[in-house]
Amino acid sequence: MKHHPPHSTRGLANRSRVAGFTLIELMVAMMMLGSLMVTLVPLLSWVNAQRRAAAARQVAVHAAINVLEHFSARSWNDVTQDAADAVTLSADSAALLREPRLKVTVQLVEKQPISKRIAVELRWKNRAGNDLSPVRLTSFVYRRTGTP
Amino acid sequence: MTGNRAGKSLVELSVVIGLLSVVLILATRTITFLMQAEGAGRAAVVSETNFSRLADRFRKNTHAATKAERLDGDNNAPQKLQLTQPDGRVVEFRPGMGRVQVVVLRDQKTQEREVYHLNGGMTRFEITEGEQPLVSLLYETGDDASRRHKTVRIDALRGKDHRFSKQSN
Repeated sequence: MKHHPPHSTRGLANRSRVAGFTLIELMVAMMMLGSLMVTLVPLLSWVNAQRRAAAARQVAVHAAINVLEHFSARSWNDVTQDAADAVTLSADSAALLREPRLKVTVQLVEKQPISKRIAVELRWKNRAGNDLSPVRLTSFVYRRTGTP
Repeated sequence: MTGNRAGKSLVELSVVIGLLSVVLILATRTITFLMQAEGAGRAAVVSETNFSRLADRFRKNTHAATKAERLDGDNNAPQKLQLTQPDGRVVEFRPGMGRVQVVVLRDQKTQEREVYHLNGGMTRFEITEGEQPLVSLLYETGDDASRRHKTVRIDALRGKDHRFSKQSN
């Protein structure tokens, strides 16, 4: 040991410190990668869920338009709350949404010219079983002039 | 001592290289997967937008139509839907695999043509006669047997725009 010049001892110490450094670096790198994966995986599933929700919403919008299409084509006297309560979704649309609940309301608007307000509200659940914000559509039907 | 240390760093180096290759493989796979997911997502969004545009056009043309006719073809030529507009033009919907072509004809001559690209699937039409004839567009994706099979239905009452012009009741 006496024969070793001081700088060579320093060199050895340096080398061992450098060797330890790679292990720590590796661990840090692995931890960073791990945390990245941990954040990435939920993000992926979130994006997927978002896509599924968008697709379901499109189906719901078309289903609600279909309901409104049929209901608003009724004659003035047939546009009633009783008739609205009997309205159901078509089997095709109902099969594509989770627990769909359809609510159609008819309201007489007294303001001239007298009209009836038809509101269609369609709710459904996502995979997690939560209610999503519903699709709401509104249409007004007017009394044909010259009819009793 | 020195020899020992030199060996340790070699082992360490090989371990590092091994782990690095694992990391690289994982990263490559993740990136590939992400790109695939992104591509599929974009295709779905484009298809949904196009389908909404097609549905709007179908409703509009059906509401305005004075006549709706379905021409059933054979396997080579799928069915077509012809909607006669009040101004004499005929709007023809020609479904194909993964697309629907809409052609506007005046005196049998093509005046306008538009193609709606959809993410696979097939479109067909149904006409239900009644007091107010109902024209339906049915867009089917997925196989009959698979869980992902779905049918999106667009209903439109033919001539809804003119229902107040004719005197009934």
